[in-house]
Amino acid sequence: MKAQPALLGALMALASAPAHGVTLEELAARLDQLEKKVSKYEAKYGPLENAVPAPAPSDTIAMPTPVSRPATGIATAADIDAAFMDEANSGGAGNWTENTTLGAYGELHLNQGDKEQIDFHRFVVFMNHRFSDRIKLFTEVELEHSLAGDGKPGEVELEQAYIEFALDQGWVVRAGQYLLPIGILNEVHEPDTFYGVERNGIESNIIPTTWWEGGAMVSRDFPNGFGFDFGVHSGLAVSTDLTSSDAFRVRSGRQKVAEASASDYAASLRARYNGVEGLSLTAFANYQNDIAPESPEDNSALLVGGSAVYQNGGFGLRALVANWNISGDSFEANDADNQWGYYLEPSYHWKFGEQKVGIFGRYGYYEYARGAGNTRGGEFDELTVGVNYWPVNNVVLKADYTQIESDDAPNNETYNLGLGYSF
Amino acid sequence: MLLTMKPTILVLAIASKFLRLFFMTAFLICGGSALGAPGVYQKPSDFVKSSLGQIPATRAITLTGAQQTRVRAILGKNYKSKAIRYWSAGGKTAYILEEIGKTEYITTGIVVKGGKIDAVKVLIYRETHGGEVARDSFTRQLRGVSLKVDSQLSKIPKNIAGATLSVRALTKLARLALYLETLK
Repeated sequence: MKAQPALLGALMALASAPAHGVTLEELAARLDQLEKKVSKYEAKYGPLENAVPAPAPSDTIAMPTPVSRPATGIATAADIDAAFMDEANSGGAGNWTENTTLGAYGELHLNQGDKEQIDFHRFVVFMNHRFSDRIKLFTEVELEHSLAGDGKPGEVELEQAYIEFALDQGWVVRAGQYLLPIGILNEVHEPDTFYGVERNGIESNIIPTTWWEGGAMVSRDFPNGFGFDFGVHSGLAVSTDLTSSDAFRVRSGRQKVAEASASDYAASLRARYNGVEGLSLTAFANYQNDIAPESPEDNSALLVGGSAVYQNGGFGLRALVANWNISGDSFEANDADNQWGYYLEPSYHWKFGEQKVGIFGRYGYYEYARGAGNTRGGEFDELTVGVNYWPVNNVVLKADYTQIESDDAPNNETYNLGLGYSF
Repeated sequence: MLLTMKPTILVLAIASKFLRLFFMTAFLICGGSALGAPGVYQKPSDFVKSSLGQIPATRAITLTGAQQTRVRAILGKNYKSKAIRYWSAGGKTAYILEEIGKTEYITTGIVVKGGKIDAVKVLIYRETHGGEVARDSFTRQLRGVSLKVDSQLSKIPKNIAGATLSVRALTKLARLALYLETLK
């Protein structure tokens, strides 16, 4: 190892030798000497191309190693840590482009049967920025139904915009507009991560996915597999106007943090357990101080529920239950004081190299407020069977058959095709 | 009955303006006063030392064009650098590899012995969701796993709900480490 500087010195001396006054014979002799030195060096230390630099003197300052050209040879613990923990390496410093990441997901749906429609349902772009290694911004903007504006079917929505502060020991605090830790799909709903073209009815009408609020939340993970999230945030504003088809409907009560009423607040709590291989369990609750602030009566409300997700090889199972209890005479009189639902979704997938094919069935039951004129809600049995095909991990093609039966509304049968992506 | 019981903490949290403000302010102060680095489960140097019993000389594999093509097939893109460090001692090789889960790099230590994965340890986790991949219950599924002819793992780890993208990232890194082992 120590021979290397000497060898490099000889090479440099040769390279810098003046051409004047040196005969070809002398040059040939010098080359011969150099070849002998190289041969000796390689015999002792191996091929020259594998040579490693000599260690830096102890009084020099160790410089972080750029990832694109990692140094080899003797390394100190500080060298190794600097290479992987340095903020510049992980995108935590430097100019804003290095600290900013972009992502997106989208899904196109085709419905045939009792509903005949093609719709680019969601087009989402997210942009995140790292202010420092422990303070980050997360944002997500969504265009729903392709076209937004007055009289158009869609909306442009700010779905998330929060600052996250990462603390030691797995403590995380976020403040801003964030997705509530409720249900299975509310926080993670990229189309390539779930079965079925359309989201299930329970996580639309009982848990109003996608559901975001403004406030602050603290989360903590423990090494034994337990974790929790606890947030205080803005609340729902459900209509009790008896002339409205949205009356008493939880989903229609989302204010989306758009000049939202802040006279009453809400809080969410979720406990998580992932300590067993392949199994994820959650229990969650959301308390609304007054779910209908416009109503003169007290309408406190509590949502409680739980979810289980199990994966073993190709077999998967998802289960969820969620139940609202809403106080107040108006909700009770309109049969909207208890809105709840559950579903079970077994599935099986096969992998073929990078490709994956999965089949699933899902049965769900839910009941929610009928609203004025019994136009929307009621009691529903929802059955879906279908197939997902992933040509690569982040792209999915979906096909399913969905049957929704209800005593309150006409039965509905649809054949659905979907295309989704995320990155 | 259970479903109608109001969790006291939620009721208290928003019982009055004062308490709401207290909780929100407390959360923000906690966040603002954070001093540590996020999600550092183990320092990279500690991983090398604990895996190999020492910190051997750093070596590197410089990927050729053909090898980059194989890496692209595994990751779906080029690795972040052409040259990848590793450390070898006692028949084991330790790699520290990085891959993005959703938007952030997950720094992962992988030890390979005899063409099989000996250990996987998430060293630095920077994503918001999916930190469950750092738990032993997930990473131990990769122990003893080898690479099949089609560059897939001999055993696919079970997915974790809410951590799908992180599971994918770690699965890719396990495949990459086993492939790099064939290049040494």
